[in-house]
Amino acid sequence: MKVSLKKIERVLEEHAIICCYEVNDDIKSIVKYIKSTGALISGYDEDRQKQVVLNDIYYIEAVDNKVFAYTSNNVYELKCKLYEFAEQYDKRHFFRCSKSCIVNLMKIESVQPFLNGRLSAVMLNKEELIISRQYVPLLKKTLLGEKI
Amino acid sequence: MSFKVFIKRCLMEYFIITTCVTAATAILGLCIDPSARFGYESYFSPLIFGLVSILPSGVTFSRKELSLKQTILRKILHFFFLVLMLVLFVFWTGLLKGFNEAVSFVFSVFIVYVIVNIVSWHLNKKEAAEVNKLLKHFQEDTIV
Repeated sequence: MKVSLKKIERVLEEHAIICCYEVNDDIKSIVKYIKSTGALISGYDEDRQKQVVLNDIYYIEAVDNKVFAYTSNNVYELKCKLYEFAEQYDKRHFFRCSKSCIVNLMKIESVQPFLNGRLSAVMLNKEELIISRQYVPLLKKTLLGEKI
Repeated sequence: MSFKVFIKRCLMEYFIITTCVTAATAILGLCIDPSARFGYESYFSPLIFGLVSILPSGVTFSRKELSLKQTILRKILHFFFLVLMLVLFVFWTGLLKGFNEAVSFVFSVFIVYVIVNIVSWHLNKKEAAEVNKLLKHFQEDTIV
């Protein structure tokens, strides 16, 4: 595939345009990579600061006044409050699914019914998260692209 | 769960209960005493039973998220209080008198309880299927 680069003014937003015959898996993975590039968050793994790719995070959980980000095989402590993360990254497919948890909608494999009107989100790594009953209508609105 | 959401859920369950009580009365009545006749006041019976049945739902209310164990425990407690309230109510109104009648009554309450839970589960399953469909579209649209 031919690649062209064009420098733009700082006032403009950086973006990529892909001209293709069809949207196949290769194109999808390029799009996914572009979307993940640049979106990093600082996390702490045993007091060592690391840059975590936002799209690699499965969910964020608040436990005993600490906030943790869970990726497929690592856990990082974040130095921010849960609501701050929710406010900052709600446009990046992160959804508040309970009082103490924010889930990456792109990492949910499926949802299943749970007791008392709640739903259980099965993640791509087979972990399960509870979606509170009160957040289910908001989840539907988010998935439909409606404003909450 | 907020109190508003809890009330909304109680109302939904109230209507399911009244429908099930009406159906159970008709079926059991036809089996036990098919020749019995009632006046218009009997139409209030399912509504009152629905109200008495919904009161023990207070046991299931919690502002915090309940775990699976806590939910099951509260369901058992709910059923216990439900049976207790209904049995006291029917004996107080004089609808039931003997032990055998009470046993068959508790059994029919159990059947209604199971049906209500099956209906709730079915609605929940339907909602999960709807969310799955939306989720799939959302993920596909986001990647492309």
